[in-house]
Amino acid sequence: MRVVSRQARRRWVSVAAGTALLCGLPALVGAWPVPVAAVSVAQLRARILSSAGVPYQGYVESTVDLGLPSLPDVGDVTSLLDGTTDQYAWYLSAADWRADVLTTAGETDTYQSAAYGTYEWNYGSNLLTQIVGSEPVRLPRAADLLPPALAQRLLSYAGTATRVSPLPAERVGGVDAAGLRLTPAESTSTISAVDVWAVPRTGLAVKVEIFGRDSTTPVLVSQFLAVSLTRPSAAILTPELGGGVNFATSTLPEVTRILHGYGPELPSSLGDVARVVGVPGLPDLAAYGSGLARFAVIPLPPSTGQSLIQAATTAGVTVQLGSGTGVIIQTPLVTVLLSQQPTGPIYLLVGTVTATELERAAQWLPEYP
Amino acid sequence: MIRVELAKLVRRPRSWVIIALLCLLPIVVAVFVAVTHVAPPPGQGPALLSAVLSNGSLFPAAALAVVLPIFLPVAVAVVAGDAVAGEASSGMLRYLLARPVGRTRLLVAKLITLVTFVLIAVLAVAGTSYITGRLLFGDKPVAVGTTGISTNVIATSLSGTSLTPADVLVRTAGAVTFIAVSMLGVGAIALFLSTLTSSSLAAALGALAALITSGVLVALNSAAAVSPYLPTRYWLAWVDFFRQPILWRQLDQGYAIQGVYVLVFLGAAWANFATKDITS
Repeated sequence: MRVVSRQARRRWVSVAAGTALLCGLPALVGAWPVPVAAVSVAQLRARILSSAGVPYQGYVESTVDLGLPSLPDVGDVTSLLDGTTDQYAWYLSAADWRADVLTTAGETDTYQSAAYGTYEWNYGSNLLTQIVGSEPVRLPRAADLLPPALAQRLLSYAGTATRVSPLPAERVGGVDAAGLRLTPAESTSTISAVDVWAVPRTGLAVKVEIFGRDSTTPVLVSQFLAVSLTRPSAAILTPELGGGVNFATSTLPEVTRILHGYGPELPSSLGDVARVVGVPGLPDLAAYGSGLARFAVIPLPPSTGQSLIQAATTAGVTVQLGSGTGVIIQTPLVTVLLSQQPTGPIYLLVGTVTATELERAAQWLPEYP
Repeated sequence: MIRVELAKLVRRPRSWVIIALLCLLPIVVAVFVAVTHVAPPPGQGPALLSAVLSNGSLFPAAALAVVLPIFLPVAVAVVAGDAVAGEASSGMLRYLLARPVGRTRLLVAKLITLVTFVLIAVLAVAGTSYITGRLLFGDKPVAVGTTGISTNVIATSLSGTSLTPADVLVRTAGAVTFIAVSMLGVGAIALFLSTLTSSSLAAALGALAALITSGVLVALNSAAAVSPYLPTRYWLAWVDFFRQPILWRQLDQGYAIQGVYVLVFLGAAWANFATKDITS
């Protein structure tokens, strides 16, 4: 009897040891010390900003928890900013890349090709769409959440007053990455910190975390789960019209017409908040503020504005704005204000600033002459 | 020993009834889709089911998507849960072990039988649904771009690219293999539970409870930290075979996590069964 129980014990101990080894392996790999990169934060910041030409391919998971209500006429933006988005990206340069948003039942792909232009593939509608013309302004898309693009954008927004400090190195997506933290100087910003990890040698950002003012956990996390610093093949970056696929061309999106077709000319400042000249990548967007405290002002057509106000009223707070009214939706990172003046268009103000700042700016919005 | 167990599997009518039921469900779905010509829109319902109306060659993959969430794991849990507990409840285990065979060898034979059942079941579903798909939906080529009909293109990938018959064959074979391997984890859990109890039903229900728990946790954002280690986490990754290019990351992780579950639960089954007092 004792021999049997000793054998049983030996067997269970060996199984438990094997199980512990298998289960502990990921934690062991995670705890393996990452060598400290011999690069200063200033060098790292400069390399991230100049990493637009660094090729890569990899799997990205982005998790955003903004709590935005579902709003009409903004496409997939609401779901993009509230949930987890899985993407696979192949990037050769700013002019040649492809990003696929993956679900278990399909995918939505964006192709940017220097030779062929911009294409969007949607499995759900079985449609390959060629986007004709340039996009002076557009709604946020999933590819904006890719760590390299997001980090470059945030670092380019961060002003000289933004404090930059080092973070411990991490292993992200299988590569060792050095980290830096941006702490905005602007008290009106809803962002308390932006953490970025990048490959020290190339500056390729592999992980971005954004913290809100009142949150101890990041509101947005975008990171590579696997990344390869290799050039994708040309065949992968070339859009293909497959068998049975429908094809369409699309001119500039509705949002551009909205920007150019409604409301009086927006001023060079709203109170003491100056307009940003030439927003990188979005030249036609009226943006105000500085550093990481910025907001966009978009005059809306009446029908879109009214339906947006109706949708926002249930989720937001109604406020008095001088002789007009407004609806504010406050999220941990982004604040939205829909302002309606008696003799002016409905304005959409959205950005990483506090509600008080948007209310203050809304007082200065122009009305119809 | 292995031959005896395999023969038992083949001779048992129950095995074939389970496989027949597994094959029947996709056939019922195919008949409804073929009669009504109404398939779920792309991106909704079982993966790839929307594509079968234009060509039946993709129906084996769609059929696997139909049976994967519930029917296939239930079938595997029932067979694996019965492997040892069934012998115990029928009073055969004592006599089985009275023969000059080791308990470890018996367990290995049960495992090989289980793997064989999973392979037969998955291949049977793929085979019958291939025939069903060809009969009900045809195999005509699909139109390609401005060049018209290409006889060499029979389907479209999730990425919108053309798939030739060879592409569909290779990718379906990959999906079949991945789904078969994905079932081994649940089989190992049920086999372990089968060594703990003499009730086949309890072992099968225990394995299913583990799967339901895993499924709930995978869908829960707050459980994201443990999600990559759950047995059902990568089950649906087989659709990555139908992307262009094939994305291997989740497939590799799916294979790896099933390997871990098989090792751990087979080890536990061996540790328990090898020194267990057999009373029935």
